[in-house]
Amino acid sequence: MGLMKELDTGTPIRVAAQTVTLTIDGQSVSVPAGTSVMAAAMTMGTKIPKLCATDMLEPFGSCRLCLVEIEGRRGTPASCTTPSEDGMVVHTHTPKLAKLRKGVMELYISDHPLDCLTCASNGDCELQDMAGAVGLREVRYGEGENHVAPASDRFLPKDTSNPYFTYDPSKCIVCNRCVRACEEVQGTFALTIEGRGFDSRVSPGGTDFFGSECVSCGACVQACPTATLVENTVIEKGQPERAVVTTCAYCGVGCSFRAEMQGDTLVRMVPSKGGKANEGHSCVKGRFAWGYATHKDRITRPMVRDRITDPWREVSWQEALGRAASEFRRIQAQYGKDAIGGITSSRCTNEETYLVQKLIRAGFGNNNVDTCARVCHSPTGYGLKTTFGTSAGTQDFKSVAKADVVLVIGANPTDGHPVFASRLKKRLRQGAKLIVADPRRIDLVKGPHVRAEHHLQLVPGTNVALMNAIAHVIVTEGLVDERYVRERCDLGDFESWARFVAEDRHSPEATEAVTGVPAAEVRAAARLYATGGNGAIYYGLGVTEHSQGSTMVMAMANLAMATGNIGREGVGVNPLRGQNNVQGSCDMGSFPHELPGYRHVSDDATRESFEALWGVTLSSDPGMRIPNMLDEAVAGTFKGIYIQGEDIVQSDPDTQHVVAGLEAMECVVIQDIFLNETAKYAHVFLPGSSFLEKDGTFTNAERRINRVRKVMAPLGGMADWEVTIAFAEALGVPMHYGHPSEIMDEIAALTPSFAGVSYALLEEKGSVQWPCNAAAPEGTPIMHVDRFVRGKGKFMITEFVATEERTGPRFPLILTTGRILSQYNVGAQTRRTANSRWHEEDVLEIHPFDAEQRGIVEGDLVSVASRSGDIALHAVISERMQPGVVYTTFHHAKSGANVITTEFSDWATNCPEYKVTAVQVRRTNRPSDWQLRFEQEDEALRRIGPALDAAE
Amino acid sequence: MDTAKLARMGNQIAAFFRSYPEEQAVASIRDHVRQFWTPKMRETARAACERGEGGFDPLVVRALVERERV
Repeated sequence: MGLMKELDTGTPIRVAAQTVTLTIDGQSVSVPAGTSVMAAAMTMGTKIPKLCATDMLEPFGSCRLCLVEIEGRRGTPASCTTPSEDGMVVHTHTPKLAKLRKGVMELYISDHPLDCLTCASNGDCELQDMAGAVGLREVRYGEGENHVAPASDRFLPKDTSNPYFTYDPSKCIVCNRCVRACEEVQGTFALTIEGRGFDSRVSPGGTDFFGSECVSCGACVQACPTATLVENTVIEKGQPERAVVTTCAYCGVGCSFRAEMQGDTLVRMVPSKGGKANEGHSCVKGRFAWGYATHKDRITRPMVRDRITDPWREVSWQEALGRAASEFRRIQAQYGKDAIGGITSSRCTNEETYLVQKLIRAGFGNNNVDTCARVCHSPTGYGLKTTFGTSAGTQDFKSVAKADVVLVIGANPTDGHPVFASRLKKRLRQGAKLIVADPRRIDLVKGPHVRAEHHLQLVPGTNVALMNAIAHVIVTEGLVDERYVRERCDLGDFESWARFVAEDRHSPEATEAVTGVPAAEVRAAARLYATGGNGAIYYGLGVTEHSQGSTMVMAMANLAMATGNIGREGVGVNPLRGQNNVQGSCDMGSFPHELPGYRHVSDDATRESFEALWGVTLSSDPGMRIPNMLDEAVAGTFKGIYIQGEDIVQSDPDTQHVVAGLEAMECVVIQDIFLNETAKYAHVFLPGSSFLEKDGTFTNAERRINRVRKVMAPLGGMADWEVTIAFAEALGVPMHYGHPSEIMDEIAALTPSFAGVSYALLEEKGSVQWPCNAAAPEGTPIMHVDRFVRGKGKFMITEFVATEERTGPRFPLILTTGRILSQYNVGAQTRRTANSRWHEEDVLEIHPFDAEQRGIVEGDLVSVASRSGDIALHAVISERMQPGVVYTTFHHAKSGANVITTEFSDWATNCPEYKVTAVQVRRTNRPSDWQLRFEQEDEALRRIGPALDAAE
Repeated sequence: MDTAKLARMGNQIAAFFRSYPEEQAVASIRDHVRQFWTPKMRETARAACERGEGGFDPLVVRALVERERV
């Protein structure tokens, strides 16, 4: 595939019911009403010269290059700002226009460096293209006032403060595209035009880029028509020569990117406009933080060791796989079939995840398979399946553009799901109302041109009480959408629920003491959600990672059903899922009780269909969840585990318990791209492959199945799916697949909701959202449209049960954990990129009141202790917190945030209660004992010995 | 797994279903445990319930010990 550039129609093609027909250069063309003359011309292949226009942005009309003549109109209007009209007759090229354009270009070039041959954008510069297009042959203006000559008073040096791109003011033509991209696409408003007249220039708010509000999403770099803003990798390597469309491997938004390549070297990642999840936008992680994929820390040779204190020994694939297989068989012979299990990876593809669970069910002969959704959205699966009938969100991301009231609960989209946040902010700027329920004052509460109508700043752990209070208002004030409920939901369950929430004890006034949210605010928010038009709920781990995570998911589902907010665009209950393929790993049967497609292992018909194809008998009993496996390991009955691409030592709660479990096992097999924290306790290491090194699919939070395409060979020699096949082979369970597409064919054959999915369809459509089958051949953007998947929507009674984790004299504060924009989860990827410059360590955010009481000032090293353990972090004083609540992130292994989290978990799914830990904070002058031990072991347990040659 | 942990898990499940009429709650708890717990966990918990040990919620005891009505 060559470097096919994406079509740029200059201004957006509007969506309209009506079309208008006009004549451009003698040809008739029809476009949706509201579409500009420029875009209309582009639809017939006519490129009107332009500089300030690009179809990611609204028309601006400043460059004066896209002028056209329209019969019957005076002058030469700009085609970008002129809407097409019926009967219009347009001429795009006339001698008059040519002269005007050449004159304009001459002025531009008179204040632009003529260093094209050595310029980073040589070959990819719209200014260069336009100079060519208008036939500019000379610039008649001599030396004068300019921004180009270093001696000029107006000259500004390059700004190289951002690690990923460079700003060269001398090349700026002040087209405003970057400023508008920052506003319209990203919604950060970090850029502006400083100065007036000839002095005007782009500025990140008067400071340098790194020190500014810029979030490095890359939208400005993408929008820049010249080399003013350009990727450092392009400066370094030159222009790419081919592009492959693939899917980002960071969060659950699942952005489509063009991986732009020189041979098998990645030059840059540019968001693809054709990607339906992101429509041409990106964030700092997907756009820039991909250097980890070829980082020197990548482990590319298989390794084994007898004891975790031994140094690793590099061996052949055959030896490593043989060791893992013989150990697993030995363990099963010695301790029983159930003594081994595995963890699938939400970082890997659907096909890879499917193979791991197949290996476990068919090869290990048990259902001891789990995945990281255990610790994030397992309550979503349980709660939405119980109430609606499917374990997934109800909408596509685009739906938010039709929402009137958005309720964001326990999510911080600007940091965790930035590209979705940009869509959301765009809708909010158009006038949709926002309600935020979060213990912290997240950025969405008040930002540029975005303000939450209501911030329900609740005490962590009281979600369900708050939700019941909102439901109380809706039921007792007669705001229920009765017709919807009567037609779509189970009435008996609705009535029991309505009676329950109507009880006085659930009123906002009665629950205020528990939740800490003023009753009047709750009432107003409830009225707004119920009566403000399309109400959409978006939520994150602040909902699920509680002892009542599943209850809370059902409480939100109740609310959406009661107000008729399910089953059309602009509404819904939408989990913002964490990992790139966590939705997919759940879909693919990664839970110990479910086969692919969320069908229980005890369902005979389902099991028989798998048994028939796989040629084995499958267990009908649920297997162990991750915490069960660890408990059984500590108890001495679980002895071996195969972990593909997951780092439970860093990500799972109560680190010391996780480590104790792993230390008690006899064979821990890790497949990963790095020697991660969990690998410190492993005996066999199998090199993993990055998303750039394999074919496959990821499924994002909107159930969208997107292609992942290989752009370079696996550094370790095998892609992850090939490693699993080889491991299966070594275990005597042969699997025959020549390409991941064949694995998808098997998934489709066995899973009704995937029946229509094939690589051919994905090639044709770009992506599809499951269910995709005979009933929905092109997939399903919005779920539960005419009826709920389970038939009638089911209201569940959601009694508030306070967590057992209580604050008291010893641990008076509540710690809650979360993420920040620049780092991703355990940081294995982002810490190996320049993203760490924004976040070099995890810090403790604490309210000034709590800080003062403890004599803590900004930057102090403080000890954070819970009944599980203690760590030391630097303090940041922040009024984003409420008094009594402290916050940290868990991106750095050395901080050990999960040393202090507890073993409490969700009642239905055992999703850990990361969001509520009772702690004490005090000043300290040393790292904690755990942190000191970590530093020693970090080296001791990661040693790689010299390779032995075969003769020894 | 130790009985105390199973009891805590069982009692958490009971705390959710307690809002429903008792027979429904018992059936739902039984169904939940059957869907999500391994046979060994169910057996360990049932044995403890039968011995009256572990501090299981009465609803859990009923769900685990009583035979399902046909």
